[in-house]
Formats: sequence, C-alpha cells, structure tokens
Amino acid sequence: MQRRRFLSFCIYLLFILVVFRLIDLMILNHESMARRARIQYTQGEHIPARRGNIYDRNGNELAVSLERKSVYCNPDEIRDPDQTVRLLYRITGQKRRDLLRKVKSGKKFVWLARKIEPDRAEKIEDLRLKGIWMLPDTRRFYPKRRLAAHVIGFVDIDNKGKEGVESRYDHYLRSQARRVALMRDARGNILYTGEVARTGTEDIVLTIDEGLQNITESEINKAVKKWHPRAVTAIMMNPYNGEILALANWPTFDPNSPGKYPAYTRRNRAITDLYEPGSTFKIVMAASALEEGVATLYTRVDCSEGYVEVGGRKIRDIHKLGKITLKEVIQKSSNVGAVKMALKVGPERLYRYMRLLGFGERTGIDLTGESPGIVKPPRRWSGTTIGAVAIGYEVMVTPLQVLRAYATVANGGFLVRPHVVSEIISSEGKSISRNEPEPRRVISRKTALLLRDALKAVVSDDGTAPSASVDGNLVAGKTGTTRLIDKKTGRYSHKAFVSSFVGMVPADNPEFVLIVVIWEPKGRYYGGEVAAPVFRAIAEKALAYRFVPRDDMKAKQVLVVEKMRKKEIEGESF
Amino acid sequence: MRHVFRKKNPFLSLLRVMLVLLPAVLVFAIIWLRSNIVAVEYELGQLEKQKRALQSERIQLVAEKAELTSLDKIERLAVRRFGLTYTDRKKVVFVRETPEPAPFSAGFGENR
Repeated sequence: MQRRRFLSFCIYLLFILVVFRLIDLMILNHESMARRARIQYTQGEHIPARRGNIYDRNGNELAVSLERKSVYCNPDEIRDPDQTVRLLYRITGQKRRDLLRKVKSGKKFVWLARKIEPDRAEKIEDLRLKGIWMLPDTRRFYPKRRLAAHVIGFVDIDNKGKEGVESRYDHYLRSQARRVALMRDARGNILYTGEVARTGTEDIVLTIDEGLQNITESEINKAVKKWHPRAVTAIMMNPYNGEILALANWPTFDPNSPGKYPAYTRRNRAITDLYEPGSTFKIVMAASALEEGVATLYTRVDCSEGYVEVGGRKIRDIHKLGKITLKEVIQKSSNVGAVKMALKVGPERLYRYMRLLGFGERTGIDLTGESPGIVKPPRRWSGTTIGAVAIGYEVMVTPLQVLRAYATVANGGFLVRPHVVSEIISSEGKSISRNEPEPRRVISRKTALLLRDALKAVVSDDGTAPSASVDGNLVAGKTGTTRLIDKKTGRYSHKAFVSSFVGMVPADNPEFVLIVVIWEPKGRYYGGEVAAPVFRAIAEKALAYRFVPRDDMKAKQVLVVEKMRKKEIEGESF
Repeated sequence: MRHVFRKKNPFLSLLRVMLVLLPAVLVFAIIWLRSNIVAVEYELGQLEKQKRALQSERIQLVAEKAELTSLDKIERLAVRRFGLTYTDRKKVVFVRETPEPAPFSAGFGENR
C-alpha cells in the first residue's frame, strides 16, 4: 500500500513539475522564449530600394527599375584569393588585377560588382565561393536612351535622383530599402506569413510626348550637322496649361551611363543657360505700348534715318525702313522703331511688362536648377539701357522664359506655369496628385490678339522669317539674333551669335508654342536663316503627328471617309 | 462479502467514453488542422516566390519592350530598311466620324 502511495506521489510530483515548467515557459518567460523561437524559424530578407517608373503622357515607359544583384566579399573569409578572383573576373566582367586588389584589401566589406544581371548572379551563386556574398539591388534603366534625358535626369549608384524629374520628385519615386522577416523551415522553404516583400513607390506620368520629343530631338540633330553650333535648345509647350510637350538640348547624354559624359552635356540649357534674347524680346515693348494705349498696331514710327541715338549710343537697323507702323516694326524687326516705341512707353512701364510677362523670375517649372534670369529695375538702368532692353539686350533670360511670354500671346493673355509632371500615381494605381496650375491674366485678350497679328506678319514673305512658315497652317512668331560677349575683349563679338525663333502654330488657334535657340552657329547666324527652318521642320512633323488639320482644309475639296462611330464598332465582331 | 449488482447507466458509460475520446479526437483534429495550415503556408510561400520571380521577369520584359518600341529605333528602321518617310501633310486625309452606320464607304465630295 505504501509503495502504491509513493508511486502516486511521484507521478503527481512529476505532473506538478511539468505544469510549473509549462507556466515558466508560457507565462513567466514567454517573451524571451518566443523571441528565441522566432530567431530559429524566421530569416530576414533584404528588400532593395526600388524606384517608381516614369512614363510619358501616353503611358510609354521612360524609366524603370530592374532587379539586379550586387556582389560583395569579406576578404578575411576568403581562403584562396587568387583562385576566387580567377573564377570571378570573367563573370563580373572586371579586370583580374582590379578584382584581386579588392579581394586583398584587408577590409571587412568590399563591393566586388554592383547591379549585375540575374544570369551572371546565378553563375556566381553556383560557384559557392566562401566569403563571397550577394545582396538584391535594383538598377535604373532608361529604355529610350537619350530621349528627354534632360527632363528625366538620372540617378547615382545608390539610386538617388541627381538631376531632372529623378531629382525633383525623388521623395515620391524612392522607397527605402528594408528587411522583412520571413518564416522558413530547416530546409529554407518559405512559409507564407502575409508579410509581402513589396516596397511602396509612386510612379510619375510626364507631360512629355515621346513622339514630339523624338521629332524635336531628331530635328535638332539635323540642325547640329548643318550649323555646327556650340549648343541647341528647343522647347515645345501647350500654351493653355503650360504642359511641356517636348524639351531637348544638344549636347546631350545617355542617362544609363551619365558618368561617361562631361558635365556640360548634362546641363539643361532650356532652364539654366542665360542669353540676351534680342528681337524676340520686342514683344515686351509691343505689349506695353498696346496695353498702355501708347500706340496701336498702325501707329507710325519714323525709322527713315536708319539709326536712333540713346544715351550717346547709336542703335541701327540693317536697312533704312522709312516711316513704318508698329506692326511693321515687329514684322521687319526694326531696332530703331522698337527703341523709339520703348522711349514713348518709358522705363517704368517697360519694366512692369517685363515682369508681367515673367522675365526676371523663375517660371516655376518642376525641374531643378532653374535660373531666374537677370532683369534690372529702372533705378539701376544706365542712359543706354532703355534702348538696349527694347531690342533684347541688357536682359538675361532662359529659353523657357521667352517661350512662356509667347504662350501668353498664344492663349489670349494668361501667364502659365510650365511643368513636366502631369500626375503622380500610387503603388495601388490611384492618382494621388495632378499638376494643374492656374494661369494668371497679365495682358488683355485684345492686346494678345493684336500681338498675334503682328507676329503672323513676321512669317510672311515680307517678314524676317518666311522660312518658318508651315505648309497648310499659319505660323506666328519672332526671330532673334544676338551677339555674344567675346570673353577676351569683353565686347560684343562679331563672330559669335545666338540665333533663335519662337512661335506658335496654327496661329489662330495655337496647338503649341515652340522655341528654337541655337548658340554660336557656324556660317550663317540670323534667326530667320538658322533657327526658323528648324522651327518649321519640327512644327510640320509635330502637326502631322498630332493630326492637326490644315487651315485650308475647309476651303479645299478633300476625301471624306465615313465610318461608324466607335460605340457602334465596338458592338461588332470583326 | 456481499456483492451488490447495480444496473449500469448507459448514458454515464457513454459519457465516460466520450470524455476519453473527445480530447483525443480534438487533439488529432488540431494537429491535422495545423499540419494542413502549414502545408498551405508552404504552398503560398512557393506561390509568393513564384509571383516575385514573374514580377521581376515582367519588369525585365517591359523594359525590353520599351527599348524595342523606342520611336527613334523604329524611325531609323523605317527609314533605312523600308524607305518610309514622315507623313506628307498635303496627302493627309482627315476622317470625319458620322452618326450613320455606313462603314468604310468612301467618296470624293465637299468636306462636311
């Protein structure tokens, strides 16, 4: 009986001990035990920082992030560096000597190869080399190469935006690299825990149209071959809302390998480079004269002497033009007429209209590095300044500022804010932000229409830019030719010029405004001879690309093809 | 010694059996459920891995497609290989949509 009791006691005691141990494990030391268990069956996985995609306005990919792997090593763990390098150098595509130097560096962590393709990474993994490790990474890829390089920009080796949209919208595009804990069994098989290895990034839709950008860039390249200039810039913009449809610069670069190109090729001249706009600036004089009631388009100015003296300096026309109207002043780009009209307007009002048309301030484009230009207030003007300003000297502007001023004429008097990003889309595909800046009226509709009339005359046979005319559609625009400062003498050069043309088409209902600026063309230099033909070439192709009808379509007999409405067609199966 | 024979209550007997069996069945059910959950977790884990690999491949293919459909590349091929040119606007025909269901009938006439 006693033995039975003893046995029962022992069993009870054992049970009590088990219960105590369970209480200890599950209640008293729950936290630390759970942590230890988690460590045993979970494994951290590195999720690389991925950037959002960049699309053009039609949804074409302009920048994507590709999954890659980066190889690193701990030199202390490598037993045979020579053998390791011998196996690795061909796969990584590096020089044997360079790789050996890295492997023998004596550091604890050395990158051997960054962002290598998955097949090469697999080959390295198959080698199972001791001390060689890999981390998932991403590589920014620009499938259209140089297309819109200055707008898109580029990233550094750590995928941080350095220029263009990549830099300006870095906080939207970029996601932080992180580690997620995944449950794995002893064989390394992953158990689903609901933790999704995804990073939340936003995609960006640009206002740029790949087709128009391509047309602009190819025409710029042709101009470069013809005129051998130092640089070229062309910008095309929707005048009603400020959407940049195309923005191209030459020299340019491939954002896939920006380091291979010198810094000056990466500069976005459209917004950073300042120049004296020359005759394209006469629009300020004309706008102020018309808006302030100083003159009408048909007010006559005496230009018969062929020169005008301002502050002791003579400003001349190429030919003596006689008594001409304000419209003819613009049409024939008369310096004398412009200066005489500016003198009538006066410095204060002229300066006010410069500012109203957006000169001397940043346009607010959503790109980095924009220059505000230089426009001096009248108190800092010298005796010659009013004469110089009237014909576009002693002011420094960017091509985009000039284009914006002409957009004001094209849209009936509103100053728009140029922008390159139209929409930001969340990782769930929802639109989280749209760029719709409000235009601001700066001149009356009447003045804008009068100016447009005057600008149409520039592209006529009697104007300075008949070579800008487009078959089938009226063009309104203005030429500009300015001398550059000779750095050696500090005076205006007789050899180096900036040729430009800015205009809108179709003139009565502009589809876009376009500026072409050519720095230091060789051979000829007048805006009407150098830049205007480039304008025409771009405009003709762009109008065809956008299916803009000819102005004379209504007058001419054209083939009319009838077809079913879209809805009716959708119902049918073909 | 007197033996008293009492009639057994069948309900109590069943209850005793159930008390023994039920926990055992419950334990087995829990184990079975748990193992099934783990199996599904494995399967989901595999599918998740597969999904990620496919997503990665998709991005690669999207990039390749974008590169191949680059207008610059297409233009070069079109001009050099096939001798195509840009549209001559003089020859462009503007198609007007009309409400009549008259598909693809064409004729020369005044533009409406």
